[in-house]
Amino acid sequence: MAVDMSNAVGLDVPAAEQVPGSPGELPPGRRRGFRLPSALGPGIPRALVFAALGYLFGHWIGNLIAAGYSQVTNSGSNNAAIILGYLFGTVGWIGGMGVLTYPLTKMTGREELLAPQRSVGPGRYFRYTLDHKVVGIQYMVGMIVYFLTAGLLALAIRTELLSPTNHVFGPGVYIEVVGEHGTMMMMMMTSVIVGPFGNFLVPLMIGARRMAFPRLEALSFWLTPAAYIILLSSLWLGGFPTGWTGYAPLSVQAGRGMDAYVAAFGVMAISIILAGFNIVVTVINLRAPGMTWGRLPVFVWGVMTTSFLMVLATPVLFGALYMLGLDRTIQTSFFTDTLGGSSYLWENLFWFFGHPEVYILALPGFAIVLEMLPVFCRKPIFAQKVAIAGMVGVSALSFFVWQHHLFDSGINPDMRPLFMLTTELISIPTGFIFLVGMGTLWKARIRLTVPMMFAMGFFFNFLLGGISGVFLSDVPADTTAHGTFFVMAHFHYTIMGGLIFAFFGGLYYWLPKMTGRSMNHRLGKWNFIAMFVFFNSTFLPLFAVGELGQPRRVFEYAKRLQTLNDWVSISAFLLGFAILLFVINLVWSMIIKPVRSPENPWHSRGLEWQTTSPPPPGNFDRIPIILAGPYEYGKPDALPMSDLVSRTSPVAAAAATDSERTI
Amino acid sequence: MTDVAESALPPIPADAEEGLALSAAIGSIWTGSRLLIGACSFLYAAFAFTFFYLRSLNSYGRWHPKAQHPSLLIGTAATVALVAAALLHYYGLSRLRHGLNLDWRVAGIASLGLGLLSAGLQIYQLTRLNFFPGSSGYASVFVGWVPVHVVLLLGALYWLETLVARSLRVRNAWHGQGDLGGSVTPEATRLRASLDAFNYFFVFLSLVGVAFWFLFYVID
Amino acid sequence: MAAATERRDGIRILGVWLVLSAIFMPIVYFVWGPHLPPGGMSDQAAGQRFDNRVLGVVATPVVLLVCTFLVYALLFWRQTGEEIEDGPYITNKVKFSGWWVGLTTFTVLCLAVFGTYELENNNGAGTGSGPRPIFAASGPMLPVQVIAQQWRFTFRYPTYGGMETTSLMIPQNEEIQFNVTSLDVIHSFWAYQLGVKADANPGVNNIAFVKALHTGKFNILCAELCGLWHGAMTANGQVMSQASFDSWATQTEAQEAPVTKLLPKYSTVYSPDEAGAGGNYYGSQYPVNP
Ligand SMILES: [Cu+2]
Repeated sequence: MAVDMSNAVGLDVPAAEQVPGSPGELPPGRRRGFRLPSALGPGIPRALVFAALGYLFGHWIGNLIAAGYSQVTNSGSNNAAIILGYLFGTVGWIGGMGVLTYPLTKMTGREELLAPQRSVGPGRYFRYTLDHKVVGIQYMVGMIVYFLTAGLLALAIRTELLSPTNHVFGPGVYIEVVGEHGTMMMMMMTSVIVGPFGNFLVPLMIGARRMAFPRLEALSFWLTPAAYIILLSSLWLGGFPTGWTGYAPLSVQAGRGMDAYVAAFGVMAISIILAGFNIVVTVINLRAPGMTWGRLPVFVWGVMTTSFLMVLATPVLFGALYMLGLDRTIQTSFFTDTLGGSSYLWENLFWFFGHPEVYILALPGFAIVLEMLPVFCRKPIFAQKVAIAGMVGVSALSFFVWQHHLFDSGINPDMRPLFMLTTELISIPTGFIFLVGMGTLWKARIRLTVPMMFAMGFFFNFLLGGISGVFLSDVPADTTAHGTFFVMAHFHYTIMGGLIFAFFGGLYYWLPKMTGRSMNHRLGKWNFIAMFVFFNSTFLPLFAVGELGQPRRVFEYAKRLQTLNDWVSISAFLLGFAILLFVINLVWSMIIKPVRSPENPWHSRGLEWQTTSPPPPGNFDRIPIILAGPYEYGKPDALPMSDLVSRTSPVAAAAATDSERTI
Repeated sequence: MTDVAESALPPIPADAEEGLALSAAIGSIWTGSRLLIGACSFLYAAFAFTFFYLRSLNSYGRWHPKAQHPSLLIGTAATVALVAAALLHYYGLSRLRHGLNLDWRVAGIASLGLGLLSAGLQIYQLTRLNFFPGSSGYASVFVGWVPVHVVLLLGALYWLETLVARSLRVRNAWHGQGDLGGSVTPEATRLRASLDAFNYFFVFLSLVGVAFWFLFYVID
Repeated sequence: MAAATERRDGIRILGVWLVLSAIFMPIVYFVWGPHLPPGGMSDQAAGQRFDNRVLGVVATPVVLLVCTFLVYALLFWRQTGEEIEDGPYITNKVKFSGWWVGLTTFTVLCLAVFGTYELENNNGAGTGSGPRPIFAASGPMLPVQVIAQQWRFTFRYPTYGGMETTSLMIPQNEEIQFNVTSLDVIHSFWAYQLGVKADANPGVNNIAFVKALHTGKFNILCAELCGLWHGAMTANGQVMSQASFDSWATQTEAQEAPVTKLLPKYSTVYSPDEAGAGGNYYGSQYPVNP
């Protein structure tokens, strides 16, 4: 944070030699001073070595500290050693990547010369690279890896639930798989839009050459592989039995695998805070001239409100995890009632973060879908201010609803009507999004491309997810639904059916921009159809399963529910194949047989399409002046969004012919 | 189409981009520091919430047995040192605005020292507690809060150190142009913006220190 | 001409929506509603079923409106072929937006008022309401303590000498007060057919009420992840007629008396000693039992 406060243009570097987009960096040839051989230089191999050394060091420190305490040495597990190992391992990892070079150099008062280099070629995707476009791609790949891993874990869960009493895994492994799936998905979903699309597109959409804090941006990505490895390493330590919610005192009581949960979620929390911090600051300060708040694309609005939530809510999670870590290591008693703590404390802190988190997962989906709708409707977005009000309203309200997760916990029973009210109030701004979506579709010229299909799927899924939420907000109805598969189906409808559909739609929409290659449309269509059908066939029955009396996270259930569960499991496997179709499409169209995409395949007015695909290092030849809003479709005398298209570049030519055809 | 674009504003000349970049950088520093304060406030709020929540529940009467108390002397000294550091830096900065560069440099270095003293005192205090971390709700909150505050304080001191180091390093280069307080180069403007931002954050930290001093030693 | 087609579109969507709603809302309420979970075994379960019916009826037209609109849009406003044509330039229709905002706000406020009313009358009484619940249930009340621990439920009857059983028996047509607590981690006591769910927290007495209307068996499950055998943490329950409950209770009390003598004294919460569940974590320097 403080590390990066004055990062911009370097003193000693002549302006002409600065690489556009990342001021302060020298081209590789002009780097001064001592240089390590490249094998020892910053990069993944060194990072892995440093991470291992860091882990061992932390472990050693932990054992050293605890050596005098028989309580610990006799217990067979020193949680302090494990957590310190993970922390120092993470520090070693980012140090090995080269993240720490700049902040350490800065302590000497020299601040720019040893900045990591911008590199060209595929190697830059495996390094600590400060270009926001590289970070966006890194995030995209990273989040897809997270998603597929956690998805496979989901299939493992469904395999176990094929039979009510015969076990594939047994309760121990099953509970580990459940925890891993939930935590990994939650960690990933928080960044799945803001990471790839936020980092890649926000500067392009606001007419900036770079992010405000590129080092923090790159760091926020490089923490995610560390969190991934730490979280998976939990399996080796026996897993954690608490699910992603980590309820104390179960999490205090749990074995060593729980330490991995604390460390991984903590590392990811820092990554989330940094990513959101960078985006908020960028949007506020780096907008091109003429990019007023009214002309700011809805996507940027959505990502910015999300980022505000990320910056403000995640510190509370971090604090809670830290307290849990202390309870597990130095035996504080935050969550132990007999020693002055309370099991309610974790529930309060966790959900105070957890509910904004839920909207961190919903808002970017709204943002992507509303951004794509005008393009494929060839109409201006309907009531843009209402859309923005909806997003801001959802964000603000999300801080005041957390106790609806605790309606039957016995906490503050007198406050339940209040939390019921605030929870239901959230339907109003959510309804705004539907109003805007339907208003935009009204009398539109809808082109049902693959991204548009995903947008339509989003509306349907999110509708069911939102409506089922109303049942959960009503205390008497919630009494049956709480803690069951009904809840689970509800949030999978909003997250998987909402956010992931939007994410996939966004990938189909923006991958041509990010890579210059287009996805296969036919395969994309089948990908959507399969995903839509099997998603609904997986999760719709789960509402019934929950209401019929099956609690969440069980490995055994009533025999009468076997038919439904088997139906769900089989659908889940088919859903897995639908996602496999996506992976095949991705690998095929991006790597094996790339097809060059047109410069502006969707004929969008958006600023991000007014530069080449993929964009050059500095994004634009010059900073654009914004002349009009992004959604002025159907307005005969509309100015182009910026002054970039008047020039005779291929983009401009394409855009010009488009608009001639339109007008 | 073309005439539309031509009738619009002329494109931004390349040399104006530097000005844009500078104002964006200064704005980013301003926004960033305020946002940092916001994020830290939520982290501290988690502890304040914990304090009041456990205090009001008082499970099994073990919120705070009276015998358990961290040293009032050390705690007060640490808080006073922190407040003094922040005030000193605040004062030094106002002197810098009047062009007195040396004053800020001295104040900055002294403030760094006081800050380190405060952090050191707090760590020392942790080693001299008359209770175990899990003895009570109060003990947990205290033992949990101090390292958080110390780490954030050390982060702020790192920031201050980079500023001081930078200002010392550029002393000769900028000497003719009014030095840190008066130079109008983009670099100096940005450094001053960073100073301002740091100042805000440091004052925030010291206020938090005072607030939690009240919680731990006055309210109990 | 444009205005005329516009009205036709609007009226067609409205018409289809109204017809569908007129068909489906009664179906949801009258045909599906009576079969909605959690059934009618107790006063509270019936109340929750009523809530589910009402919410279902409110949700139906909302779902139908969006679906009708999406299907209509995809059927009639779709454009195929290479040619790209822009749609009409409509940035807002303030009157329409205003109606939308007004209607959603009205609906939501009605739901909140309805939910609050339902919560404060007896229908919300099956939900765990903390140690000092505001519900004043009338008539004589049978207190039953539910003790959750990893990974089983047991039940104590303070009015029958504090006897402890492994399955839950309750009489019909009498207010029951469940005092739910835990000995270790957080569990949740869920008597599915009774419409009772209350978290079991260590050191907390979480109270829920129920009045069973029909005799019969019901299932008890743990609804909060509590560790390894969470999925197997179940118990059996039965609603009996008053007379058979009385005879069962007196008989069991007598039969269990030697065991009851060895149990800890009845109390709303229990703190485990150092050798018990959750013990041994904090060292001997800690006064675990203050
Ligand atoms: Cu349980």
